[in-house]
Amino acid sequence: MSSNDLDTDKLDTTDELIAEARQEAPGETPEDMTPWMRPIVANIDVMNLWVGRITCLLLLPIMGAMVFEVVSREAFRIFAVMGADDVARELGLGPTLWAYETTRMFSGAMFMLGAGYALMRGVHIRADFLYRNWQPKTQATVDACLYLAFYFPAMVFFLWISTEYTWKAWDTWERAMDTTMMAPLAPARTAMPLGILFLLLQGIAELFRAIHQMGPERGARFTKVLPYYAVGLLIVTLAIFAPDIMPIGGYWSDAVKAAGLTSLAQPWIGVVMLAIMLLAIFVGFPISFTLIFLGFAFGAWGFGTKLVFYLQTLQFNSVMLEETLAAVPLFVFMGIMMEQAGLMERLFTSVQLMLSRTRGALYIAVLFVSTIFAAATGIVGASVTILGIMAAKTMNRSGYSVRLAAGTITAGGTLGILIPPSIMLVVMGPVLEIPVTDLFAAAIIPGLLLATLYTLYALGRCWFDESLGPPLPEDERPTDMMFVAREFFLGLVPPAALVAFALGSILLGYATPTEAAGCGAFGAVLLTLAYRRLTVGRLYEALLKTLEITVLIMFLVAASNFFGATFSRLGTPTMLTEMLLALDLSTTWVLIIIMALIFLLGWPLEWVPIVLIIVPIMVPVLVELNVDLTWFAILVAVNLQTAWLSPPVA
Amino acid sequence: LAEAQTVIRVQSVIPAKADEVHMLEDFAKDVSDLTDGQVQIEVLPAGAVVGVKETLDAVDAGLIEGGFAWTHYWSGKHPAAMLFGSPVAGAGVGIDNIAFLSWFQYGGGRELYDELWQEMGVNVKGFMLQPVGPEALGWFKEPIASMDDFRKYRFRTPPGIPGQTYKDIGIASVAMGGGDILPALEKGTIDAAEWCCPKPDSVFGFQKVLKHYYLQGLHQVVVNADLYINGDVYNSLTPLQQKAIEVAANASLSKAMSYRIYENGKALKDLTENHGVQLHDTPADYFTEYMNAARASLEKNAAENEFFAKVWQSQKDFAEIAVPFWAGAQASNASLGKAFADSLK
Ligand code: NA
Ligand code: NA
Repeated sequence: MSSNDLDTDKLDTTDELIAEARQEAPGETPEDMTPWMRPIVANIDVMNLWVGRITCLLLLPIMGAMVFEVVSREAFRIFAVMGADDVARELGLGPTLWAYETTRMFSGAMFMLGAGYALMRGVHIRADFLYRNWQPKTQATVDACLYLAFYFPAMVFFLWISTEYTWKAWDTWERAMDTTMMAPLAPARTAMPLGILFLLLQGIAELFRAIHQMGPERGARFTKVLPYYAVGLLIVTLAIFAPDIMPIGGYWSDAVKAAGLTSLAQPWIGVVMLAIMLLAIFVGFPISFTLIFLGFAFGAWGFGTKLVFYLQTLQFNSVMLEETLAAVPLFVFMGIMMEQAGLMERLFTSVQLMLSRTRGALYIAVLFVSTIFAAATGIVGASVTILGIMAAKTMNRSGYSVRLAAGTITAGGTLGILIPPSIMLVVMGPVLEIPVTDLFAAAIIPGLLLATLYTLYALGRCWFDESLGPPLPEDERPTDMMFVAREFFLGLVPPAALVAFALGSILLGYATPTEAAGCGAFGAVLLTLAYRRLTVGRLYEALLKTLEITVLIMFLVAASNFFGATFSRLGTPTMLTEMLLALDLSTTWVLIIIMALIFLLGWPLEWVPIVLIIVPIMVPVLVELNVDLTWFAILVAVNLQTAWLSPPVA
Repeated sequence: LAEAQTVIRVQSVIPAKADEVHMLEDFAKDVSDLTDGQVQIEVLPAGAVVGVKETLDAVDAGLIEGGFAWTHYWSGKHPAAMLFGSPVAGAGVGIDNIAFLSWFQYGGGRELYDELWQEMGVNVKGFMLQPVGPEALGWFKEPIASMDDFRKYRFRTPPGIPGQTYKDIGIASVAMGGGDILPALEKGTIDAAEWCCPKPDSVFGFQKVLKHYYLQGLHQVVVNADLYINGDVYNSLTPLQQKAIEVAANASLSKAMSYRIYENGKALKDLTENHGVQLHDTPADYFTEYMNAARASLEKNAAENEFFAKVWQSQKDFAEIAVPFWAGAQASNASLGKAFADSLK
């Protein structure tokens, strides 16, 4: 988001994450697109639209299972305390074994199945600093080339291996090994090949769109290549996966050897991969796919094509079954529902009116509201937009400094990723092997401290220069303080109660973070209902938006894990750890270097790849140096939160 | 070093600091020494290349050359894995961790173990390395005097049949990810949990939250950690190198047991003396209830799966011969030990 123009119309809840969501309605195609391509594109779009519409409903059983688990288990506890546990058992109360399994499997299926829908919507995240400066024709050509060179091979190979893997689970009726219930794995796992199939099909639609965008001449030339390309891809696929049908693999490996490519040691291939990643990200293809392409190319170079897709399949499977990550869609949904309740407007207006005689009142209002809502949502962005829209108008009218205003709004909005519940901390927990509960508890103070510092900064600036934030004009000041107090109360108490309910249930021990996310989401629905803002249409819209953001985050999590695993399989992290330790630096210097690196990488990269690729490389070094990992995690979180605010992203 | 060096990267399912990994590295050194440095086993921590759950799949595919877990980790792929890794309640026929080794090495267990991987359809060669049991019943918020007390508490149960058996006897069993357990105990989301035995439990940190510790339990009397080497990698080794691994594995069986007795002893001493942990005897009705339920679920699995039935039959045949002797001898061992332990109080 650019800090100088707050063009509120273009802002979307997910603006921090999505470069450009598609405006065109699914099924609509441009008049001048090649005629035979039009129905293909339209049908694929509509198919994925329906997949998305159905998939987003999975959130409801996830939420239901978590709420049921907490209620049933707590009820059992209460009965047991009264010495009536047999009555509770009679009533069927008590912890369940199925809620945990349902939650992790449904949430895994949700992000895989929704991946094609998200691509259709254009919500897979891009780092587009280069891309956005190109002509549309150039953008389209680069996109189309990347689709052909990487996307289709990657998706076809991934589809092949994941189908094999899923088929085996059906065939042997494999069960989960890490739970008491041992639920069968095959049904949820089927979402993986299905989701990849949807992605593959959507890729075709996207390719055709890119060809159309190239203009008639270049487009026609590109189209001519397609049949040859399809045949080539088929041959390569068979050569890799069915060598008895297409025994040409030998020529390839001979050619690779002849080119001297096998002489580079595997760990160094990983170093090249990391260096290229930092460049490739800027080309502007969605980051998740760029990571997959790089893992694919360098993994195939280092240890073979078939194995690299097996690695990808196993990594995606692992992310799909991680119960902690089910908190992601739930916290996202909770945030979106809270927005819909319209509480933010209420609270903002009342704070602003209460402080109308103070300099910089609107800054305080923005930061106060942000902090409250940061505790109610797991991501950045959501609050930024709404606040932006509300605050920008009033601030303009009152003659506030646009620059300081934009800075305050963005700073406030990004508090959401630091102040718990934070999805960043949810993702970081398993990486560092620290309970998410502990991370949440540890992030509260730094989050509030940062909010206070932002407020003091804004007020300080206003103190010295009143023109930055003058008191409100006379006619905007409230006349009825009772009304203001009432609005303040109605705006503050419900979100505060919900936050206390969700966060409190973790810290007081009624729920695990994922369960609390489920209860929080459910609480937000009730709140919206209480404020008479709940309609079926709104709920559905919130579910769809939740699906988009969830896919965006979770697909990136899976892709980053795959990239990181390729890196590990090449042996690069071990080598880097040894090199870092050999430098014999003091702990302080190591930390300063790591933080500087993360800060720099925080500009082009999302927090997801940083947390999942860069942080794991550092962990062995930190363990060796006896650095407290919880403290380190919070340091990283604060760092990334700040990196977000710095140019060029903010 | 020799030119034809084979590196076997073994990804474990537990963190690098765990005792099992320490013993695995000891085994790796033996293999290296016995092969004149030609076979190098390099231990990778959990999650290094693939997730914990996908470890065996990765070895099977050749993504990593080796994996290290407990046999019952793969019960989801084949129920009989449980009979090798953690035969519930001593396979229902009184097999303790030492008797298990007797069955494994001389009672036909090893041959069935080799068959297990074929039954599972994975291309691996397995080596039993470390008997790590017996595991404790677990940690409780308050002391329990009977099964009725036990049933009042929300207990985080272990995976698979050993855990299902608790559910069968009416325990309020909770499903929860490993990372959530300690904070959940701390905050009171759950009331009780189990992990392993004094050393790993104290590394896990239960003593910070719960003080009532019950050593005698049946769900994992026998627990065995093992190594899987990708079949192609194993077959590429010379017969001498293969023999070296086998010999080192056999040595590891007794070394690991010796190591664990001492380490668990040290940990238990530390827990009771420095952390205020109180040891209790497990209520007597636990043994009968759990044993009956375990037998029922063993019967059920044997009825459903032929290979499971075959392995269990072998264990039953062995137990009929060996357990009466061993139980008698163990009774004397237990009294001997207890007499000394009591003299320390
Ligand atoms: Na938050
Ligand atoms: Na256990």
